[in-house]
Amino acid sequence: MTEMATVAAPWGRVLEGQVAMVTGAGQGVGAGIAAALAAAGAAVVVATRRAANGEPAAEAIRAAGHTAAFVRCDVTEAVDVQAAVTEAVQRFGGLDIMVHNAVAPAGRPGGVQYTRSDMIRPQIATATTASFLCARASLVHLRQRPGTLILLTSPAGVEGSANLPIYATVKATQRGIVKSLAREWGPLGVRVNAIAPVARTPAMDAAVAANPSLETRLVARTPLGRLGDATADIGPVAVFLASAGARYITGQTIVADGGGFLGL
Amino acid sequence: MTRDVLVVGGGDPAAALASELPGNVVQVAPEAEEVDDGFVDGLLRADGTKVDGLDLVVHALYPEQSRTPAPVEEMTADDWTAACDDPLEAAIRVARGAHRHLADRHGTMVVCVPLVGAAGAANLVALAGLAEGLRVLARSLARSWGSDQIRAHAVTLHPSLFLAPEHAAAALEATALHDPALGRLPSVAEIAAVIDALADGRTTAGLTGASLVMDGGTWMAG
Repeated sequence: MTEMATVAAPWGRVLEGQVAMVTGAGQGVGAGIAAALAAAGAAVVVATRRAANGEPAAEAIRAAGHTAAFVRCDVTEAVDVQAAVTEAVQRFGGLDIMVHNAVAPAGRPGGVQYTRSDMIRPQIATATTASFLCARASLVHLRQRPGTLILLTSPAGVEGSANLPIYATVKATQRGIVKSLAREWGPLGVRVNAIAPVARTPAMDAAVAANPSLETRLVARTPLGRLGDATADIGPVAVFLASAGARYITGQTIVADGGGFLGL
Repeated sequence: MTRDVLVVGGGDPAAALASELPGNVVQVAPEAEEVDDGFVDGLLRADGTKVDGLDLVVHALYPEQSRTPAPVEEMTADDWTAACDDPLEAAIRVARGAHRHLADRHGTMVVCVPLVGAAGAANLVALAGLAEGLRVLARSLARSWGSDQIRAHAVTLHPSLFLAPEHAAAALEATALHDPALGRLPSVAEIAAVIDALADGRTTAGLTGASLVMDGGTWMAG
């Protein structure tokens, strides 16, 4: 195993033979989760809107000796999501793990009345519409295995946010979706969970560049004293939730933020 | 003091609350997709309106599609949009439009949500998602509007206040809720009294971002 694989898949290849699809996996948390799932043995479909970051992310996984393919997918379009799931099944023989991570830009920080009007609906569509589309398209395959659905939410989706109120709202919506889908799909054996991460990502780096004190403040409220790493800190959480070790866990939000939010 | 109150939403619980809340109460029941940033301004400018400002906004806009159980695999994208996305955006637009008026009066916004959001409910995924989104929207509003002396809260209510009787029984079973500890659910008058108290600066001026569960002791979790 490479060093990266050892960190990202501390339990070894527990997902050997499984197939995963990760939306928004071209960078950041999505790329970290895709790398971790692949290191744990899953064949991974990297689903992104732009080939410019999706293909390199898939290639990086393959270069590490694992299995991955890129599929172009706008998660707000039903046709795209269905086609991506179909391609994953045709290419790798099924679907065990669906991870919806893609997120729309939140825009400049500020109260809800200051959010640019045209930035509201895309955030809703990428979080809630896409969660629905990913869930609906994957169910027929997940119930055959049975597999698992993981949605990426945020601590802001629990405690709210003064500066990113739309983001917090749509992330909370995903938590409601997770709890209800867990009840709806539990009898089918399909588990549904959420991860609420805080990690260093290109989006986080941009936010820090715009507001240099942000990182200091974030680290100060984090008991573990650092921001998470997408592959080493967040990826293994997805691996665990997808693994047999989490077979009795459904409807939960796992907060992976170094202890910054302790309100659950 | 007589409060100027806007209740947004048709059917119950909005209609019942509008009839019980004290003050100059205006209830409107727009289609969710019709609500834009100018919606609240338009109401206050309308001829013959009973209110000339806003002390309290109660948001409880739940389209019929949100209240109709359906498995996710049987829903179309249009079903989902009507049940979750449109009313979620409508709430955001109402908040944006209400901000200036609430700031003028140091007012309060209360979002009423069904318990299925916190508890989860099979076949009501869109409603549950909408409810959790709105519950946290209230927290975000509280955080960002506090400096304007606007307070915001979420009040979580029993599913039977949102669903037709034929759907409520199935929802309760799918939600695995306990029986109310008090042996009964609160009356609408009792709920309205709590919302009125939340808008009363004499007693609750130090309270914002609360998520109150008024279900007679059915849920009792986080």
